[in-house]
Amino acid sequence: MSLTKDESRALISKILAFSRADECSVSIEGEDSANLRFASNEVTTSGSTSNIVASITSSFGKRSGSASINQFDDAALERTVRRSEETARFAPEDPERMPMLGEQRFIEPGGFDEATAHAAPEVRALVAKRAIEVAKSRKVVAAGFFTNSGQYSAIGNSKGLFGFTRQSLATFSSTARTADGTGSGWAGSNSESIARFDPAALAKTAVDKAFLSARPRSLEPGTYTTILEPAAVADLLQYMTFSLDARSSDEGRSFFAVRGGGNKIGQKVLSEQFSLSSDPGDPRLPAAPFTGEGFPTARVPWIEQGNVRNLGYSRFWAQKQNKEPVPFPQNLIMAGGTGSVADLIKSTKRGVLVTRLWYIRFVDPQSILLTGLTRDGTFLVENGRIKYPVKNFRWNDSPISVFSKMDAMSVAVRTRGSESEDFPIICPAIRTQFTFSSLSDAV
Amino acid sequence: MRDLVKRALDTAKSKGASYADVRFARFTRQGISTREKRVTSISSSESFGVGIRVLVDGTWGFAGSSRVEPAEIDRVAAEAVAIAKANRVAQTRPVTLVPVKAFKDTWQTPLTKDPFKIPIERKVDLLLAINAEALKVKGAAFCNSSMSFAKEEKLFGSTEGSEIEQVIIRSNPSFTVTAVDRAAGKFKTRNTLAEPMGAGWEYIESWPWLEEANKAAEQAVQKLTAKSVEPGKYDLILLPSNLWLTIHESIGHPTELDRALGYEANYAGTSFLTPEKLGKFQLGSRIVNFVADRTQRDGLATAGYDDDGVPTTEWDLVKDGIFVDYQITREQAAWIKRDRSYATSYADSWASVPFQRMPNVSLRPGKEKLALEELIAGTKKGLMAAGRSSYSIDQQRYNFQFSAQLFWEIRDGKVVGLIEDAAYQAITPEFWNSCDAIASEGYELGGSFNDGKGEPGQSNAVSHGCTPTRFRNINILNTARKV
Repeated sequence: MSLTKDESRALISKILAFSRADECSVSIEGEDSANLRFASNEVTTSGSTSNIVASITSSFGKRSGSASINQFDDAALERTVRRSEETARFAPEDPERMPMLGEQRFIEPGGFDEATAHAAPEVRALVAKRAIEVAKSRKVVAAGFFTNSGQYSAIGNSKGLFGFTRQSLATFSSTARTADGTGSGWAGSNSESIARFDPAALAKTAVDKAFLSARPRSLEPGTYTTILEPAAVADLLQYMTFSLDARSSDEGRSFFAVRGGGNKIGQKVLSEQFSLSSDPGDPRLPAAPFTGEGFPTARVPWIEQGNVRNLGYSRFWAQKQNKEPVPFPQNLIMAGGTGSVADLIKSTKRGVLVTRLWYIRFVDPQSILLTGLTRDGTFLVENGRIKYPVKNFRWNDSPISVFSKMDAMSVAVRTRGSESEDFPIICPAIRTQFTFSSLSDAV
Repeated sequence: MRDLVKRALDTAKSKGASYADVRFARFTRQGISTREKRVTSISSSESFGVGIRVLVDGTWGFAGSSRVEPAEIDRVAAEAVAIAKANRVAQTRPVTLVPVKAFKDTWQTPLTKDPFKIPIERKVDLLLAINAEALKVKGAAFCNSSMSFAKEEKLFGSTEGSEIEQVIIRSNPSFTVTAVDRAAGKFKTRNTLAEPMGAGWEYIESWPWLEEANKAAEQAVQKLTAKSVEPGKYDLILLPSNLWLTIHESIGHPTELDRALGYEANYAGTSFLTPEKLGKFQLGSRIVNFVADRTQRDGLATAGYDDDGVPTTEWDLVKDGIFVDYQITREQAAWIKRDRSYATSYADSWASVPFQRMPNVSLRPGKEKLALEELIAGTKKGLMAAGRSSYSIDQQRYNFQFSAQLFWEIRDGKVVGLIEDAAYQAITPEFWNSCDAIASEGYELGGSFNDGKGEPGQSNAVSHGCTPTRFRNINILNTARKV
């Protein structure tokens, strides 16, 4: 069920007409998506779905309530508006409630491709068939996932705000395992356009890595010079980003808090090589032009040459601290260097090469200490070459330490982390110091 | 609605499906969040739609839509069949389903107070009272609290003649107290030890919220100055509020048959419990027994039937320490030449494809009379842990690392005080084989409201029960860092 800009505007107007609240906002999220899984060299499950959800927030003075519905007959819409109003009447006054925004200007990030949003079942089946053929021809077992979708998002309110955006996305990933179960390789990527990435090439990379990682040897856990491929860097970036919040920093409960009060804006916390920004208008990874409350998104430099430039400020916290609101990032762009992962390997005397990370969780939010594992290709590098595959490690380390100790990086590329998944990220591979704490026999 | 069930199934069959099932479902959620003296959000959501699943020549197809009307149901059924037909090019072994009887039945979560009928003011009042109680304690700077409730109303029909209506309700209360020492630049948190349950408002009423809020705040403050753990080997007593998650990750997931056979290799991973280990592998010490059970009272995964239309049941996964069985659906039974499903199929929405999801998996209490006090008294150098905290495990479920809301040091059979910065790290079979004592009393259920699996990701709710349990000689890390 595709939604056009005009259809969205009409639907929002219809819902707003039911409102009896002082202020009312409506957000519409629609998605047509289809997917296909394969495993054990066969297609497994596959499906397509279509859904649109309207979320309504009603406010009386400083009291607010929200309700959502995915049915669009008049009775269902009116019932949902009333439910949000009843909820608002029962809610206590919120001293931090901000008035709804009036009309805003939004960028138009693009990023919609009709062929990607509504690809036919045969397109997905062919992708799986080719990936399976690559695996079968090399006698490995492949499992993977392909999905394509079109997403439509609109926002409007009783104060004249209206915004509409739509995006398409295709995602492919494949894991190949050697027949003896000792090797596993993975490759994955995503794009707004099916035409822009090559699932067969990704499937081949996964198979190549499976062979390269087979029969790994044990390497003593410890702190090593480590090359983290972009998929691994993406996950560390995203976990660090969770802490880029001014309020929790000002409240003393974040890494970005300063002892005695305040936050670390203006302080150097990472390597001079490290710069991180977000930009919904970047054509390499277009993202939503507005937040959930209709605030326009724009380019934000978060960290420049190791210095904290911005933290996220909600509208309330910005007003309280006499700052401008800064919405949380809708995408992440880490500046890269030159050269490839192969070049990083070539210039490394001894170190560990990590394909990607897995099952990452916070251990200590104070230091952003995380734990997780390596997965699908971990190698010892010696004298500029991959010497042999090594067993996977559990690691305990902080992105603050990792991005402070980095000494080289590749070009930045669009990537897909195991935890960050389809959150749009461009980042390089980096060389740094990384702490592996124990061995895992997992393949 | 029953006319639409028939229409969906007839259309699928007429288009070429050899088997079809249809789920009409309404998923309703309510959530309230607060911090300190304010309510940060009150929301409710309702999602209604239909999902139709078909088999054509042994290949699956599925389609779903939120527009529940005759013409759209025809389109969705035809789309599911078209997807199945397209996918035949990448399938060599046809899907077969083990037989199941046709059921015409209804089931609903046994509860005495429907949480959706409790006025919002009562919920808000309770949450704000929790915050106020916590903030009375000196040094407690913040308190966030929330409650969410989920209701699934599902009508399942299949071409084999089943028509099953179910109403499943779950409740998820939570709070976190944060203590901050600004001068030292330190903060510590303590979450509630209350767990989500497959139960109603009567469960919320049964928990001593204010008493716990006060205690949690005191403990968050104590954690700021508690001794940092000396890393090394310790005996470990895990209370149910901590152990349930370790059971979930190290026993629940590796006994999923799809993982063991590589069907989740591209995302969650595989399993060290491969089929040749069935009936032979010493997964734990002889006192260790795990049961899977979707009929357990208050269990988050408890239901009358699974989403394949199979009646739920209980069965052993680990008996006297030996790995004896898997979690199995209708489709999976044929993979290992079994003739029955254990009813472990679940879809988290009308828009989702049902697949194998975890039942409630629990550690049976010890057979010999044994209380927590005796476990403590028999421990010379140990730690005792309560509450879920950081958790991570590898993609084959060998190497795990867990933390806790609270660790107490035990010395010479006595609890001597709170200790900080600890995490336990172990290899699954070594860990369960080091289990030397399981209390016979103090059984509690813990659980996850949102357990992720599959691509696209689906969420499952699942409980795990156990009594206080001791493990000998476990590796303890110190997780304090200066960066």
